[in-house]
Amino acid sequence: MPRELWGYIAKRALEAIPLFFFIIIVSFTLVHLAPGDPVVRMIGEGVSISPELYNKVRAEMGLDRPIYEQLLAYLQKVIQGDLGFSYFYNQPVANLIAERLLATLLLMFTAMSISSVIGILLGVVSSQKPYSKTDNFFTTLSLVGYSLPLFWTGQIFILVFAIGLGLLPAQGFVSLRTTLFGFDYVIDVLSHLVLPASTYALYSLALMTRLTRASMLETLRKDFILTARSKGLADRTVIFRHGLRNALLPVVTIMGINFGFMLAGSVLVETVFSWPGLGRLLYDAITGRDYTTVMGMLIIISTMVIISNLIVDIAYAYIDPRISHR
Amino acid sequence: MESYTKNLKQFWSLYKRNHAAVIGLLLVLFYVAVAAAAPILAPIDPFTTGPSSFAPPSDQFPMGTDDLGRDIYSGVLHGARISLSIGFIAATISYLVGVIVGAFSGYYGGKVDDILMRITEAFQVIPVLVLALVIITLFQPTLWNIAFTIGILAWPGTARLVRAEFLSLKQQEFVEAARSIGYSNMKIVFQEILPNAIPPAIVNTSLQVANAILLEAGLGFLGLSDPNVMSWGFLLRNAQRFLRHGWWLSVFPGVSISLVVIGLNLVGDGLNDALNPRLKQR
Repeated sequence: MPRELWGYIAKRALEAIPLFFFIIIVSFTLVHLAPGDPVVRMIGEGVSISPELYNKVRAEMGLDRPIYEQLLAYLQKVIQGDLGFSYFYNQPVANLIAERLLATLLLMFTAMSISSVIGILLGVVSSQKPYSKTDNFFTTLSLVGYSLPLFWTGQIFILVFAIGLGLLPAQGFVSLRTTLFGFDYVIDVLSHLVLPASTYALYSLALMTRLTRASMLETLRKDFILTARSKGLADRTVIFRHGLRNALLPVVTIMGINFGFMLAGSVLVETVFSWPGLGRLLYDAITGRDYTTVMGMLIIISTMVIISNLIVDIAYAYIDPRISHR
Repeated sequence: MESYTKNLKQFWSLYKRNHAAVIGLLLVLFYVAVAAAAPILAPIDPFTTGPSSFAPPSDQFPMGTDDLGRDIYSGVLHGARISLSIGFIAATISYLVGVIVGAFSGYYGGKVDDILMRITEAFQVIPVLVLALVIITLFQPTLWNIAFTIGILAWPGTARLVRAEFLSLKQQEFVEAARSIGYSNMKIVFQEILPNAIPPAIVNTSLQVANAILLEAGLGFLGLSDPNVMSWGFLLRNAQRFLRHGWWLSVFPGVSISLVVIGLNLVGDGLNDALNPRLKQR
């Protein structure tokens, strides 16, 4: 990698640090602004509180110290990876999140890979004859795709494919009351993965189609495409080698932003399908008024978005060296 | 005034060329009418329980009933009032904040711009749904809290658009002219530049209403709707518990949300095409 790129990476990484602090400060402020007793809130309204526990948590939060000292102590804790202790689950929040992370990532990456490949392809097809019948069809279809509420698409999938046709399991990660091993286990998990992943993929497919189309239209108008065509290169070479390669740059950025949306959307999809990931954890924490876990999730999800944006920025600079010279 | 109506006519003739956009507008108007007339079209209070639970759609209950025998038809119609109101209130709030931040950022530039854009970026990092969930859980799900929270989180897009408009507009001659005859900065920002910067932001607003409606439905689905009013999100939350008992619990409210959001998105696309006709004429 060239030296400029390293400089650029260092610069972007430094810029991400204040964002991280901003999120911690926001979550700290929210906990202290909200009505009610913050001690009761951090223990959770769903837990019976003994006076010993109350005093212990109160001392931990340091409520009698000045507010800036509390904030500093909180910052220090979060940076060390301590997101607090959930009395609702009787576990440190960081452990809870680590346990659930894999299920969410499995779901998201399955959906994102399917939708990216198909979405980019449909976008390219659409951009070939703008405002033709084919284009209008895909454009309208993709508009419908991202207009449907994510969780409702999930409900309809369950109604049709699980309850109606009985083809696939409706909810969960594996079949209950069975002990499967090896290959059978994998197949079972995959059959549970189909519906939630399709729900996600439908939404992200719609976005990818639309964005690839827009980006392709923009690129195909450029001079170098004209040059390539006038050199007598085959249509396919011009479209894929020259057009798509350049058109993909903004699409990569959007995929990064999409990651954030999907991560947030996991709370909806995983609730519909009882998928045991981060989203479901957030839902359960909210339902149980387990604020320590809720705050931990806010910080973790936002941090994941910051990191994914950073990765996208770096990937972008790697593909297009002009970026790091700016 | 005359030139204003002429512009509007010209705009409409461009807009109606896009048939999908006209259908979108009709969809939105239909739902606005339904929302306005809900108490007449569905006189039964949507919370009234009845003896027949899980009754499929029939003459008596056009959209069936739920677990407590409540009329889904009434729920969908009254829900339209709440969902559309929250959508419009939230979009208005986010529009106002976005325009003010974008205007100052673009007009003053320099340090002001740096700071405001940093804040905008920071707000864009946190996924709106997650932060809205946290805020509404902490502060109780009342109608106003929900509308206000969605509005206060959705402004960064508008701010960026308005800023970009201001950056290019502030260098034009009419601004120079206004400055040379001694107009104050405030007067230049709000009277001279802002009216020209509004159209692109308007397009964004119809998308913002759509997003706000989706967000409200999602929050309601997760149990964060105002318990005193009927909303589409509430209906779908109830449907989730009884998916095996009746498809109508989920289908009718879901179709309603989808149609309104599709309508608003089509309108957004139509406005965009009508404002940038050159994109289509190629």
